[in-house]
Amino acid sequence: MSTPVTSNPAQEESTVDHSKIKVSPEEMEAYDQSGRKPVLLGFFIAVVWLLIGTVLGDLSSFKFDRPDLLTEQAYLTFGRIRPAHLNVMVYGWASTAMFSVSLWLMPRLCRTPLRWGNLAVIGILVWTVGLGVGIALLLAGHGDGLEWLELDRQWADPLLVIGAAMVGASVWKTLAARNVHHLYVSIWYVAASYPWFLIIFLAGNMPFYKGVESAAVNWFYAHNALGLWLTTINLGLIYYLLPKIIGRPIYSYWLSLVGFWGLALFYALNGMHHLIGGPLPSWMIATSITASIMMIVPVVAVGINQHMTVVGRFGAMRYSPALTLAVIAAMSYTAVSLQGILTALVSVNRITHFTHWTIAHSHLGLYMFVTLSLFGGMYYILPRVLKKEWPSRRLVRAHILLVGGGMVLYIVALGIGGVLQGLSLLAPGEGFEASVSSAKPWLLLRSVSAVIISAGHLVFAYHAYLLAFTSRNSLTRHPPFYELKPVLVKKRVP
Amino acid sequence: MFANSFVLIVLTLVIGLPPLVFLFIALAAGQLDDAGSTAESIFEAGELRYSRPWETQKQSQERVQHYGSLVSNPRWEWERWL
Amino acid sequence: MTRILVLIMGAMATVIFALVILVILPNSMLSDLKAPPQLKQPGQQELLGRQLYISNGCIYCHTQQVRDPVFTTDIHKGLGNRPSVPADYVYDAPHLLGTMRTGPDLFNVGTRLPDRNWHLLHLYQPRALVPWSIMPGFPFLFEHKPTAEAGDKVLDIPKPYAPSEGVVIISKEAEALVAYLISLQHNYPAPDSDALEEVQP
Ligand code: HEC
Ligand code: HEM
Ligand code: HEM
Repeated sequence: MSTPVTSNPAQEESTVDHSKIKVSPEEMEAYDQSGRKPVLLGFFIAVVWLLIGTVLGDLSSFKFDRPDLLTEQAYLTFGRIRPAHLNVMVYGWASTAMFSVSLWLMPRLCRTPLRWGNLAVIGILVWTVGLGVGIALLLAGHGDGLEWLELDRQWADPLLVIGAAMVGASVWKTLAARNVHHLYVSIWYVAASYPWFLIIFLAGNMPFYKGVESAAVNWFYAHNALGLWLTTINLGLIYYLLPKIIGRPIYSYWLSLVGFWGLALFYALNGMHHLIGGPLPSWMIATSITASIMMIVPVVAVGINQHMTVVGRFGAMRYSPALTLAVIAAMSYTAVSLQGILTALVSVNRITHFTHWTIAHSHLGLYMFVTLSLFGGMYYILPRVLKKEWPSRRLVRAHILLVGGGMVLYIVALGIGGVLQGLSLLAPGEGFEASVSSAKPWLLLRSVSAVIISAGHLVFAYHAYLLAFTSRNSLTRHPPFYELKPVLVKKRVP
Repeated sequence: MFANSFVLIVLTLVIGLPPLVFLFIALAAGQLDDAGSTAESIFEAGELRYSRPWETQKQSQERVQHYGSLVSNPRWEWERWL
Repeated sequence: MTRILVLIMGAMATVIFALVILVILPNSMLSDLKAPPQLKQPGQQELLGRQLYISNGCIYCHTQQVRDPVFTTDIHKGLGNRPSVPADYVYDAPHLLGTMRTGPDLFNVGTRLPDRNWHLLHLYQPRALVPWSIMPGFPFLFEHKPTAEAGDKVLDIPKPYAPSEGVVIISKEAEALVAYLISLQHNYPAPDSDALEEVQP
């Protein structure tokens, strides 16, 4: 460890406090380059998975409108395409992109070159192979049968564990070699996520649970995969991007620590709110509902902190697509959490449980929060690592408008459709048919939005290809939103 | 049953106490003081002094007071902020 | 260094704490759960059917749980005559509780729809029986042959849905899946509930 920190204050003063010395832009550039290989590899693989997952998501969506679409082959049946969509998006797109984000953030935050970068490269590759094997087996009909844990526990899961552990080792080695005293809040989030993920993933995949216990473990895992993996790394990224782009330190550093530990404490206990009304001992479900309500503490802490950092400067979003996406993602985090807390209340859950309301919630979380945050991260990170600018303002704008608009339509449609479906599932006089027909038009609207979002993904993938693989460089000196009329804030009066 | 066993209490203490102890050590050693400089540690030298086109006059003034007079960004803006 | 210890040990403590509460504790509390005497242990065929239920993803549209009448209308709607309890699931590994009711709950489908032939045709083409259904057909669970051979069981399919030529043979798989569906009957009285098996409010 390069900066031995002891509990003796006198000794501490003798060591240089690097936190107080500012890095030069050149130094920052060197840190970015130190992780070039794994960061670029991860983003490349992530975008490929994103496109695959998009096709699978579209197909799942169309199958609701046309149930006889592609039913002849077993591997194209809805019950295999849908879990494949989930696994490809969560473990392929989001997680792989999150590896890259972590490997890019850690050197910058620790002010030291990335350690064990090659191990991280191998880790990402092992993870990808594991996932590929798992998806192929899933489509062939071999899965573990637990939602979020479908990947085969013999052939796929060990590779995933090894891959994530390798990337985690690189992250932690970099942390151990840090040249700063203080740990910026993003470090807390990113570094903690790796051991968390490994523990929950191993616990979730143990083969010896049965009966309701298997359900408890299932949702213990699935909820923590959301809360202690997908959420945390993206919050870490947002905590970095917002102040950095706006040019203003985070509103309250203390509040951010309250947010972190509150999340760690309460989120882990939330899992059983997926089984409200289910056949579990009632104290388990009550514990999770209580913990869900307690989540208001970290959620509001994070929300206030991020909002106060940006407030008054929303105009900056016109200049930076990364900031635009990070701000939307941050707001969506607050929104999805509040929606989730609402959903965890028995009085709401009796209506919305088992309906498409949950799917709207999933995509508000995993798309408007996680995916947009990762897009924002890529807009910021890729030019710095590649030392090239995004070639086209138009494509950036088209991408953001397509995915943002499309997803809002998706969530609103399924939110309404889900409540209607839930009300008719609950209404004593109505047969099951009513719940199907009340959701149908909204499912069709979702398929429309699916097409719009997919177009956005194609635009993004094409643009990333132009950036990475062609020498076409941007000649523009204007920020991409410069010509777009400000949406959120009036134009600055000079 | 495990639920009301002595083992459970011991286990909880073994897992829960050490981090708490370390937290107090860290607090006592002042490692968590000076939150302000931690929040600023992500910025490069001079980064907080770059002029930013979206700020109001009042906002730039505030920054001048805190970090000294504004300088124009050494690089193209959109490269810096995108 | 101390900060790192706070981070790693604190992070571990929170997640292990939750693991103990939500996984290890219930595991030990539920370990002595007895199967209700009326609950049949699934046989070979039913287990094969269950495996097909898993591998074809029926769980993404169907639940297998009946919730308490205090705050839902599950029982009123005929999904069962009582809420489901942990003892109903002792033979389930993995569980198939599900989280979506795009289709109806199947916890008591064997009681509600005991007809084998109905299920076979419904699996082949749901719209042949339920015109408004959005459930996909599972024709790949059946065999499609030009003509029936000796010993083949032919599926009787109404006109518009039958293939234009050849016959559809009921396969071992389709029979197993239907056997599993029909075995889903949990209408016996709830086993004596001690504190553990009480169902949540
Ligand atoms: C896309 C969602 C979907 C999938 C996947 C699905 N179902 Fe269904 N299922 C439905 C819907 C909707 C209904 C109600 C309409 C009907 O009876 O066809 C239904 C009805 C049923 C019924 C009749 C229940 C009753 O009470 O009327 C059975 C039995 C059934 N499904 C079994 C299965 C099996 C077995 C599988 C897996 C091989 C499966 N379903 C997969 C949507 C689905
Ligand atoms: C093109 C964009 C997308 C489309 C069209 C789409 C479509 C769908 C569909 C149709 C389902 C099944 C819903 C059901 O069973 O009723 C689904 C589920 C799901 N999707 Fe997507 N999706 C998209 C993007 C994403 C992304 C980017 C992620 C994650 C990063 C994601 C994560 C999930 C998850 C986790 C589920 C399971 C939800 C649950 O079980 O509650 N999706 N999606
Ligand atoms: C405090 C915060 C949150 C609470 C209390 C909460 C609550 C819930 C509840 C109660 C459900 C179950 C709904 C049902 O089945 O009836 C659920 C499902 C879900 N939530 Fe959240 N949520 C929160 C935050 C989030 C976040 C931040 C994300 C995304 C990153 C997210 C993603 C999901 C997904 C994907 C599901 C569907 C799981 C599945 O069925 O496959 N949630 N949430």
